[in-house]
Amino acid sequence: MALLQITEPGADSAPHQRHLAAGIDRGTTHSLVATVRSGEVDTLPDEQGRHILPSVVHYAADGVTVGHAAAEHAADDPHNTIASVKRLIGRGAADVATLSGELPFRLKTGESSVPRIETAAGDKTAVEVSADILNTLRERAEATLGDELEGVVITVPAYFDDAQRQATRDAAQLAGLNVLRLISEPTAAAVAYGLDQGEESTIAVYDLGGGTFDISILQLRRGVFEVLATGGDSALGGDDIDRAIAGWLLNAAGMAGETDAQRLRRVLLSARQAKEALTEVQRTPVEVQRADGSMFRAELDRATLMQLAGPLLERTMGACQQVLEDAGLDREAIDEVVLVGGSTRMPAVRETVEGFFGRAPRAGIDPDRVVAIGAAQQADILAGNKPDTELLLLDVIPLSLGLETMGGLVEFIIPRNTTIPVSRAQEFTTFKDGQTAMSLHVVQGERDVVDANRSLARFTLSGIPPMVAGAARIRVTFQVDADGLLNVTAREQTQGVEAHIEVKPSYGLTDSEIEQMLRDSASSARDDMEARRLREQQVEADRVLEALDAALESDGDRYLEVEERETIEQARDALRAERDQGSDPDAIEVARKRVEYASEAFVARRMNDSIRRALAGHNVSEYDAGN
Amino acid sequence: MNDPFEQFDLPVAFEVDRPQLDERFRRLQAELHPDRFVRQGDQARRMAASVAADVNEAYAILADDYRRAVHLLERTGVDFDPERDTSQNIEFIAAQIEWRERLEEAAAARDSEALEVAGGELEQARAAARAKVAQALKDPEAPAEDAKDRVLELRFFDRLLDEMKRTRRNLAAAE
Repeated sequence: MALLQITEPGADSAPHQRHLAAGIDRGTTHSLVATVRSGEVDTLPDEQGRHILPSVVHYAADGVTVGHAAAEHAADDPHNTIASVKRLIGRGAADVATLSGELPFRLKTGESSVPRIETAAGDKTAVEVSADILNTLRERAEATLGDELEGVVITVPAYFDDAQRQATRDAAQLAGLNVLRLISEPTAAAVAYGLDQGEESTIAVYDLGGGTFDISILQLRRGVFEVLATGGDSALGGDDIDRAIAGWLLNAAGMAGETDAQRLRRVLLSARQAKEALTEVQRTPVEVQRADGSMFRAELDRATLMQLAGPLLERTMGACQQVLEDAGLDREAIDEVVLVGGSTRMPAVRETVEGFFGRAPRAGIDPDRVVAIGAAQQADILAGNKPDTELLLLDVIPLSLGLETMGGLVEFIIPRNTTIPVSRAQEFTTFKDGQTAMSLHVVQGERDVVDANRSLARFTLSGIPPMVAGAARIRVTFQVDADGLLNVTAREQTQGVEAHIEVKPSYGLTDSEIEQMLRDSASSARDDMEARRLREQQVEADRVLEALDAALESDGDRYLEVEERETIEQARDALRAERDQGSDPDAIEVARKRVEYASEAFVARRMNDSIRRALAGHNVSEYDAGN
Repeated sequence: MNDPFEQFDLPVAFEVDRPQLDERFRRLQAELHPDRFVRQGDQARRMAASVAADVNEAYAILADDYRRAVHLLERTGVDFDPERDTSQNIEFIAAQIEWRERLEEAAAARDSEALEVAGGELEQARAAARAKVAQALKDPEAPAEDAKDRVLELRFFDRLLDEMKRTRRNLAAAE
C-alpha cells in the first residue's frame, strides 16, 4: 500500500510546481489535444497551425503517416489508409463483420478474437491504429510544452462498454501515455461550458460530427454527472449533408448519372465548401465542371440548404425524441443544450435544435474543440494543478453488468447508473450433484437475455469440492474502478477455491499481446524499452517518497510507535538509495513495494482519520449554518 | 465493510435525512475519490478506489429504501436470501399475480397508455408498501414480527417498477 497524502486546506506550503497534462478527444473522424497553459485552456495546433488531426493512418511498406498526410492517400491507396478505426475499437470479429461492408480496408478475422486489418506495414489491430493517432497527439503536446506529459484525460463516447474503454486504455499505453482518467465526451463538453458549477441541472449534448450523430442527456447533481440516456445514429453526419448538396448540384448541372470518381469527389468538395460558406453568408456561388470541360455555375442559399439538410436533421430530431423518452423526460425538463461537432456550426442545425428544445443552445466554444477543452480542464485538475478545486466528477457505469444464469438469462450484479468505483458481490450455487467447476460468463447490457447483451468475458472456477446441488456457495465479486473498468473474482466460500479475471481478453488484447506490441512498435524501438521502464519506476518511486515524507512530517508522531516509524524509515531510505542509484527498474520496484508494505497500517490509520475528519468537519459547519 | 450508518455517522433508523446523507456522501468522496490520489502512484489510487467503493456501497444502501430495510433487519439477525425469499402472505401473492398479468397484457398489446396508467397506480401501491415497512421498522432494534414480509413486498414493487420502465423503453425503441 502506498501512502495517501491528505493535505489540509492551506497546509500546502511547497512552491507550486506545474504538472504537464493534456486532454485528448479521440474522435471517429478527427482528434484533438488540448491543455491548460497560464490558466488558459486551448487546443494545440501542429506546425502548420492546424488544430484538427484527421483520425486517419496510412500504412506504407516504408513508414506510417498520420493525419492530413495520411488522408491524402484515401483515394490512391484505400486498403492501406485506415479511417474511422474508432468504430472497430474493442469490437470482436462478429461485430466487425456487420460493419465491414462500410469499410474500405481488408479485415482478417478468425485466428484471433481481435480482428486485424491487413496493411502494407503488416496486420494492425484497431488498438494499434488508435495508438498511432494518440502518439502523434502526444508528440505534438510534448513539442509544444517542451517536456514529457505526466498524464492525459481521454474522452470516450458515453455508450462505450467495458471492452471499448479497456481497448482505449490499451491504445494509450501503447502510445506511452499515462491515463489519468477516461471521461465521457458529453461530460467533457459540459465541463468545458462550466455547467458543473450549478447545483442541479439537466443537460442535452447534441453532437453532430462528420459521420456520426450522438445525443446524450446528462443530469448533474452536486458534482455528479450521470448519463441518463444516450442515443443517436452511427451512420449520420455532416458528410450526408455534403452528399445531399452534391446530389442537388449534379441534378441542376444535368449530370445526374455522373460516375467519374474524380469528378464526383470534386463536386463533393464544392458542396462542402458551399455548406461551410453558408455559415457566414446568406448565399454563395457554386460551380462544377462537366465531362466536356464546360462549367456549370449556380447559387446556393440558406433556404435551399435547409431544404436539402431538412430530412437529415429530422432524423436527428427523431433520435432526440427517443433519447428523451428513454430518460423519461419532457423537452421542458432540459435546462441547457450544448452543441458539439463541426456540423453544428450550420445555422440550419442550430435553428432546428433551438426549435426542438425551445431554448438557444450553448455555442460559445468551437464545437470541434469543446470536448478536448473539457478533457484538458479535467486533466489539469487531476494532475494536481488546482489543489483548491472543489470539482469532482463522479461517474456512473453506463451499462449494467451481470452474469449469465440458467436458461440464458442475465443476473444483474451492478445496474447501470451505479456510481463508480464500486464493488459488489453475489452468491451463486451449483445446480448438479458433484459439480466441481462453474463457468462464468460476464455480460454487459440492459436486456434480460444473454444473447441480446454484450459478451465481455468467460472464465471458469474449477476445483469446487463435490457437494450436492445447491450446497456450494460461490461468491462472485465485481469491482469497477473509476474509469469504468471491470475486474471479476469468484470464490467458493466453504473451501476457499478462487478464480480471478481482469475482464479483458474476450474482445480485447491480452497483457502479453500488448507487451509484444510495445516491443514491436516503432516508438519503443527508438526509445529503448528498458530506459522507459526505468523512468516509470523512478517517477513512481518519487511519488511514493514525496507522499511518505509529507505524511511522516505531518502525522508520523500521531499514528506511529517509535519502532513502526523506524521500520518505515529504513524501507524509505533503501528505496531512496535504489532510486538515486538509478540503474535497475526491478530493484526500484521491489524497494517501493517494501515501503508500501511497511507503511500499510500507517496509511489505513490516516485514511480512517480523514474519514472521521470529513464527517466531523461537516458537523461543525452544519452547526454553524443552523445558528 | 463498516456499518453504513456508522460510516456516515447517521442515526440507525429506517428514515434517513436525505439532504444530510447526500452532503456527507459528497464530502467523503471529495476526500477519498481515487481522482484525489492520481499523483501518488497506482497503489495509493487502488487503495482509495477500494475505500471509495465502500463509501459508494454504503451510500447505495442508505439511499435505497429496500436495501436500507434489509440492512436494518440483518443487523438484528434476520437472514435474507434474495434468491429464495418470497412473501408468505397469500393475499399478497394473489395481488402480485394480478399486477404481473396486468402489465404483461399491456406490454403484449403494446398499449403504452395502459402501461402509463398502471405505472401511476403501481407508484401509489409502492408508497403504501413503503409506509408499512417504515412502521414495521419503527424501532430498528426490535423490528415487528412481519417486518421481513413487508420488506419483501416493497422489493416486489421496486422490481416491478423497474421492469415496467424497461418495458416502456423497449416499446418506445420498437416504435
